[in-house]
Amino acid sequence: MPVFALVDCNNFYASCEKLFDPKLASKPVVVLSNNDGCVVARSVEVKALGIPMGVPWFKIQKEAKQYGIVAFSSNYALYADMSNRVVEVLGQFTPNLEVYTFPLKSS
Amino acid sequence: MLEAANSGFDWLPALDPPRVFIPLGAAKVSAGFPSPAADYEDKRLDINEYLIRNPVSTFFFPVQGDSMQGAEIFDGDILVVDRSIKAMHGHIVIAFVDGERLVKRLHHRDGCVALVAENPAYPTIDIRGDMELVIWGVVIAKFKRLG
Repeated sequence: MPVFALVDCNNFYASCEKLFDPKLASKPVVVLSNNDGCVVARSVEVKALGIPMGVPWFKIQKEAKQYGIVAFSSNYALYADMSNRVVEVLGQFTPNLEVYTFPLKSS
Repeated sequence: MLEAANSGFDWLPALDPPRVFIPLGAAKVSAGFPSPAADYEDKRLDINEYLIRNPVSTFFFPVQGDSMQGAEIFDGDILVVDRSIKAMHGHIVIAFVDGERLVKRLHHRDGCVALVAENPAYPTIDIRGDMELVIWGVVIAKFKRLG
């Protein structure tokens, strides 16, 4: 009987940014869309604050100051690289992979 | 408005480039020590394969400073850092101490952890209970272009 595995990386862009700075491990982190427009990724700490996906960065300045939210401009080269690494690791378990979107799927 | 940070930090991803095997010359180049390539005699050497064991867990970091010069790690060298290796006593590691990123030799004996520089000008950092230590990865190689 075939076994199916579903793999999803949590808060992927935010997690990528956290990887390189352990100081951020438990801090609220968001990643912003091009030109720092909107929030396109939220770490679990940011989600817990009730900040919604896609909200314009300028609209949450008060919360950002209050809770010390750390914002990153998006770095797609980084996210693509890290995504490829994940896929490559999964490929070590099975050749039958169906990769569902890298671009801009963050929740 | 609060500034967004750029993750334009100084690491570089280890890509998975096409393998380029370059034939080794038959004659050894003597620099006064045994050639690290001696084992590859009559073979072809791929630089990526030589420096990187596990591409998915490997990152490059340029070195700043001279605290590891005794280990032949100099300012401007690029370190090959593998996160899949469990750090052990004696390894050179990328470590974060209270948030500050360092490259040092890991000392771990008798329950004591310390980060040791390879330069007498820099003190050993003894990790106390109130300090936060994250070992980020193990340095497995370094390289540099000459000119």
